[in-house]
Amino acid sequence: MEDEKIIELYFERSEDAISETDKKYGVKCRSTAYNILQSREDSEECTNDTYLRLWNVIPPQRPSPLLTYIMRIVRNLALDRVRRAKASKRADDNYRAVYEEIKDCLPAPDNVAKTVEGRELSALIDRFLAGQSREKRAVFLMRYWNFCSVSEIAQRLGIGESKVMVTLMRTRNKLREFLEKEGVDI
Amino acid sequence: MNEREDRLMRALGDIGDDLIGRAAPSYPEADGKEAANVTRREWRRYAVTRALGIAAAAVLIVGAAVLLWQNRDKIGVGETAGQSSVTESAGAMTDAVTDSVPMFETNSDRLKRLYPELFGLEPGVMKLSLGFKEDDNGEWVYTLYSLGEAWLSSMPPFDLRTAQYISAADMSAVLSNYDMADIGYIVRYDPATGEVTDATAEEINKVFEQLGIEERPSLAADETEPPEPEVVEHTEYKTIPIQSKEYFDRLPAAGEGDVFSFNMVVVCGSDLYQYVNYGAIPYGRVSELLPQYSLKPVETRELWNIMKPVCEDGRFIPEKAELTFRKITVYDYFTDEERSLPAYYDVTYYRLTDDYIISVGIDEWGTGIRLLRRLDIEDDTPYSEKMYAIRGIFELLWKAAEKEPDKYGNMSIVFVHDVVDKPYGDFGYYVEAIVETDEASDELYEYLVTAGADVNMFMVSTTAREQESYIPTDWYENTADRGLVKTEPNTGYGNQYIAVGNRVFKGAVHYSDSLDSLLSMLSEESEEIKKTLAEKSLDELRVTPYADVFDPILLPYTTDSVFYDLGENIVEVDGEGRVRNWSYDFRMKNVRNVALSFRLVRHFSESGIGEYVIDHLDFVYDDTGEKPRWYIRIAADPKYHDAIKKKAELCRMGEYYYEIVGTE
Repeated sequence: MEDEKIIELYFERSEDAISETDKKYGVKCRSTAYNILQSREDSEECTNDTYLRLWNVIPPQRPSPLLTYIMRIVRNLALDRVRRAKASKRADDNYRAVYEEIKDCLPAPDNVAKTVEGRELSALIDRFLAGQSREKRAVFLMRYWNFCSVSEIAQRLGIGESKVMVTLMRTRNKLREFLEKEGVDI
Repeated sequence: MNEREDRLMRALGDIGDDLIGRAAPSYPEADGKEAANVTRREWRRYAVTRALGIAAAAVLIVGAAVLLWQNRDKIGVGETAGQSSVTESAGAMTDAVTDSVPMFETNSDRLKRLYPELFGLEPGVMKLSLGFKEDDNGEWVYTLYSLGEAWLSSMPPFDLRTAQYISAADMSAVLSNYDMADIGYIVRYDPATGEVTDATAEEINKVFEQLGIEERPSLAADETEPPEPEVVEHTEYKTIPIQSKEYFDRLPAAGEGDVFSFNMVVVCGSDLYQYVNYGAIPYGRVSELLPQYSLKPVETRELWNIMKPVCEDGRFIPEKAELTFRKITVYDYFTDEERSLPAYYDVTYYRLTDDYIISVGIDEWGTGIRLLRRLDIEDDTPYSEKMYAIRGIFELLWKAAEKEPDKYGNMSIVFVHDVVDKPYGDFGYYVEAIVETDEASDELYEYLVTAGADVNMFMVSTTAREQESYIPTDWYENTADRGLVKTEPNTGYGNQYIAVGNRVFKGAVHYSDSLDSLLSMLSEESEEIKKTLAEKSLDELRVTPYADVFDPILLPYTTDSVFYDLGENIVEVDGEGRVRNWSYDFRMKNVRNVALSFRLVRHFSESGIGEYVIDHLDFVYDDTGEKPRWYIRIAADPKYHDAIKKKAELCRMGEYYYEIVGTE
């Protein structure tokens, strides 16, 4: 079913909205949630929470594209769950591992740098990623947006795991340099 | 979690929809179509669907497979496989694809006889070409695939329509240079549904068996237009004139070890590629010459499979390489400049697969072909990991030079390669950065260490200047042999000096009563040590020094002692609990630098790679001049003197520090 039609179902407060959303995007939701939460039960719960959130925001929202809107909700809910220590140890370990890596992206503290966060920071990251090659972008986002494992990324993109790791490391460093050049701190 | 990481992660979550959609291959676009950025394998399958949908039922092509690669958005969705004539199909394909797509043509009578539907066109050269063109997103995408006539003629005869298992309507073979090792060349196509699925290994083997092909042949991508050059990541760094370039220009005859070591690795894109075969394989009778080179059997076969399309009677035809393989640019491993070769060399690089590059032409190894293989950091050998680490160090050094050109702008970076004699195992590679002043070198060293460079992988030394170098007599007498010789690594006590990075420490003769009392004493003597001990635990201070001050890589201290690095002192606790103090000796640092440079010369003689033979080396104390000095006397056959002198100059070793004499 097309997204517009699904959104209409929400507007009509039809419960088919949820089932159609699940039919179309359920697998993606659960995969994203699972990458972060590392537990089927938690992923199911998180996905259900996502649908509830959708139900509550549509209307009046008319998200477009619907998929990325849903993915954001899933991701944020899953991350919140980990942060509130309500996820499994495996999720916590995975989360910490990704966080450890992301430290490389942090610019060196600088008194002169302007602190940015939120949308301004997102826009900067947007700009940075847009300047990277498709493969690098995919590797970076699969890891740090979607919390995919290195082997999963390698398999999906048809490249070696070593290349994934080297690409991740270099892109992290480049992001840091980019932010430093922009004179920003996080 | 730290707030900053948290903010970054949240900001990542809010990046643009476009980025998420484009960069995450598993997410379909909102309208249900698969995102354009699918994996290569998926592209291929879509492309096959399109190709088969367009062409006649008797479609493809085993061995000499043709794959129409296309960005799927360029072709209309939902075309079905029909029985339309080839002309119409080809025309439709041309219309659907781009204006640059030629029609199927061939001047091969055999093919025309076998496949009149496909090739019943006017005679002409087979013109399908795999090239690159830019799509709307600025991405390079494949367009077509190209074959040379000679290659086709070397394929065994076959008839897809009569082979029992194979039905042209439901099976096609897809081969590409990017998937040499992948199963999935042969796909099963269902014309009724348009579905394309991978064939099983068994099905593939059966296909080739019926076609009389013993091995799955490999095809090289053939492009009419060279794509954009590979992206080099570090162009923003300042390029430092490094000695390897000058050295290269002054090359003596081929076969010299350092030439090999400098040229072992090139950069292409973000990957490092290592030369697999040392000498160039001459063009003639490649199939016979290949096995003579130091390649593994699988590499030999692989290389031959790649070479076959561009060979006639086994002879490599360079002109065909131009038509068949994609030309690429490789970069010197240590600079960001396109591979610097002397003017009289004429080498072109081609991409065969993601993992293999060849160089074709005239280089220092002769005229012919050389194969390079991509280094995988996860290989079992430590070599690839070290190469990446060394490359990382070079990047840091370039960065330092860019940030502080006044301090480091005159830096020369020398890549030193040495091989440890067994049983010490392992290759010893490191980078030597030669800078102008002592202060700069220490600071640079600290910068590298702080930036995370492995202290075992580099050294920073001063240029040779007039400075007093001092070798204590007892050290000289304690050397196990004359000159620069590795001392026994495990004696510990016979060797008066150890080194950590660029710091040299001299060992105390006597032992202390206990670790606590020694640490207490050192704290009283030095505020720095006191501070270090207050801030860090002993475990954090553990370090592994090198037994021989002149062999930082080759001989880690392999005793059962534990060493703690306090800065100007190293404290050792041996296996019996005895405690010993080693103190920093600034004078030895300079001597060490001198000696390390001469290790290169010595390496030449011992490794047997070069032709230089150094009979022996002596440290000589000369107090006949205005100032007493130590220098190194190199004894060698006079015919090698010039080469040794060149080497010493390249090592920035002034004549103050060495003398070359004949052998007795």
